[in-house]
Amino acid sequence: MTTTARPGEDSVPRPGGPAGPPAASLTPHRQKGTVTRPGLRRKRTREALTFYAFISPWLFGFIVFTAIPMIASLVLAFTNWDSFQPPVFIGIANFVKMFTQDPLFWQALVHTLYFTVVSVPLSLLIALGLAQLLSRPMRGARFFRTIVYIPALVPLVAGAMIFKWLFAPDSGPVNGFLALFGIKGPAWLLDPHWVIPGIILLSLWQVGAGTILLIAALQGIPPELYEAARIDGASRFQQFWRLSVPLVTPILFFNLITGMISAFQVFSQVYVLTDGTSGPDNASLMMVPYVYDSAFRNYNMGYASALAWVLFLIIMALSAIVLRSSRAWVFYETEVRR
Amino acid sequence: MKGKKSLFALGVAGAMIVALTGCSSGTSADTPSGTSADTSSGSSAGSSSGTSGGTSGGTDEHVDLTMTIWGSDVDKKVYTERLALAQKALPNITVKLVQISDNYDTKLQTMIAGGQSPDVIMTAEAVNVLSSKGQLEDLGPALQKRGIDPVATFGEGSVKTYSTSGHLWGVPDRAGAMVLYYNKDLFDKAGVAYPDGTWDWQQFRDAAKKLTVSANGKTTTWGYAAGDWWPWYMTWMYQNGGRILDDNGKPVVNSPENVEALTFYNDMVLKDHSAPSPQDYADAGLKNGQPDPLFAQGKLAMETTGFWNIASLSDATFKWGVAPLWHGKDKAVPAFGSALAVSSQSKHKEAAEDLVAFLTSDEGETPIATSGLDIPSNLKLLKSDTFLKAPWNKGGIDLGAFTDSAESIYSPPLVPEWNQIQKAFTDGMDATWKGQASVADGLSKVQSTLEGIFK
Repeated sequence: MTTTARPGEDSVPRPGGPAGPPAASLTPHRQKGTVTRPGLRRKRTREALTFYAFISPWLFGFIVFTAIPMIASLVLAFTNWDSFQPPVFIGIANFVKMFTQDPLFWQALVHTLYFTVVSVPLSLLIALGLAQLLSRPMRGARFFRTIVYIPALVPLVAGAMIFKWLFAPDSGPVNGFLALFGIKGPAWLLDPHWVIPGIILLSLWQVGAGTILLIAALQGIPPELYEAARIDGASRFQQFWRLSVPLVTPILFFNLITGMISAFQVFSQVYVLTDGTSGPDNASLMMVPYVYDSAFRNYNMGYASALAWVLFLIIMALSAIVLRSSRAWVFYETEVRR
Repeated sequence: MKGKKSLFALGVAGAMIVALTGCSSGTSADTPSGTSADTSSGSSAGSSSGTSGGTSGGTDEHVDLTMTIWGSDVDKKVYTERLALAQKALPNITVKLVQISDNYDTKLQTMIAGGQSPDVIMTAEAVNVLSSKGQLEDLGPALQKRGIDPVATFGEGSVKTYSTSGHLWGVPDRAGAMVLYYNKDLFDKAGVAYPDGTWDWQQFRDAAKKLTVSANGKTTTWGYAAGDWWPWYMTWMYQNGGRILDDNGKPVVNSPENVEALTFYNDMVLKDHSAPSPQDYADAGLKNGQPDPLFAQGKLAMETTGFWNIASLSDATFKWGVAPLWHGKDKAVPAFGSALAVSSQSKHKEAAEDLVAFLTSDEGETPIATSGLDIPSNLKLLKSDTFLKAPWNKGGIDLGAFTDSAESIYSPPLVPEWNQIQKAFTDGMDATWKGQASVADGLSKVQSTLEGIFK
């Protein structure tokens, strides 16, 4: 057993295996105290080299465009830098200011949380509902799937421009529709209480991408499972809730994580809908627009870096919590089979 | 066999790296818009022009300069023409023109932070962001050395706009006094005499009221339109003797003069309904304070805007004209121009100063006047027939309105915190413009925000 390699760790890395230097790192304990054949070792070295050669374009991009800027911004977070003159080290003053003296930071944080907590679950629910409707064989299914997906193809800025017009107080179709039911619609983007709901509606308009993934997942469920459920007397709702939903939880989980991260980083919607003012009177100020304003309007690159790092840590922490919770509710078929 | 394969893989990866890095350096900060243009092949047949020495190491040597401008392809064409003239006058200087069509200040900031500052910088409101960070050369001595008197050449308002405590950070290049555009058809229909620059506030307000047309409680034609943009609200303040910052740089936004001025303006919106409210703008599909489209559609009788609007009115179906603004206690005209500045990081400051001095001369600005791009800052050119009777002006617009306004230009407080001042007004006055708060409350809010910034 010690001298023969398992099939899996032969020269060819398994497809879909964990990324990282193969063979060499997979079995470190194995090499200790055992006599490896010289040919195998050379093979492994060559293999590792090939591996690094293949990932080098990505690695290069990551180091130059992500890692170095991130480290730089971490350093800058502890400085006062206007981007023109040399940065001045000021310790944790940026963070002290952020948490104790800057009401705009708290506003931006609360608004961003509000936007995320409402828009992400809502868009998951809507995407799941649409997917359930559109995954069945019916006339025109392809047509409707296309319609649902089209908004995801429209550039965000163009979509936001359309929404500005839709939300017009008196002449806009949204309030025109509400007026049919005798409801006097709010001034939406001009009203401090309605501007974030307006931005949430814009984000819901773009559930198409998540819907497509869920349709694929729903259609991938073997029909015999439904057949068995029907024989056992499960109702339509029970089939959906006890069979379909658990089997698509991996996709729901993926949509939740990616949706949450991008909701925290919302920028274009706010920028276009409010003409870059985060108005009215900062009622729609979110974290990334605030980072942008600090860096490029107020020329405070150090403070902007500190804000960006706080945002990054918040996203990391929430992602970790969601990842952890996934053990309780995300269901992988392969785990059961084992 | 295997060895060959991995060697091949290495080669591919290597090629990808080369492609990647090549790509990244190609799109780096020195050509942000990717539309840079070499304006000449660059002959080095230098003739000494008397301004020797300097960091360029003698003007006999050939010097390459970079210059950034904003604007459209039309701007680029005019600047290319101007640089061609400069090439003749200063044969030892070759200029690479970099046009940045949007986010100019942000991209310039990135270029400078990356150590790639252009030598000659087109600048306007951000001038003192750059000057306060030590990024610009004082051009006062440079002009003096070349025998140019800035105030006599460009007028006091323009020079003051780009100066702080006796230092001139940018030479005025495009003057851009704003004027009153008016729809002659609507004036004729309402039986109101055309504006001529003599109106006081009340005459202006009465005219706007008479020009407003409404049907079924909805306004179909407005008398005047403005909104959340400094040339509109600050003009009322300056005409009433108010200021944003006092001489010591302390905010004085909620002064009685300013409250009176903005109450007068806001009453036109909220009481007379002769000017659109933020909600009216949103209903028209426009952002708050975007009157140009309303005017072009013939739904607006008067608006204050700049020279650039002439081009967008070329296919207007109505007759229109321009006149100098009305006046309050004082004459005050907003201007939206630009200046040319020299970077303190430039390795060829002497040559850059030569270039700026030439470009802002009446000869160097001639393409601005003859193309109809903008108003030249050079007063000699501004008053000459080259501008007043320019061939593009077939409609016979009274360009004298711009010339006459040049002397009344006021300079807004273009301090480094200028962006924050504007944001303070946008945030603080939001409820006031909508009629949900008084002008005094709004200005107090702006005042307290500014007091936090100018501690």
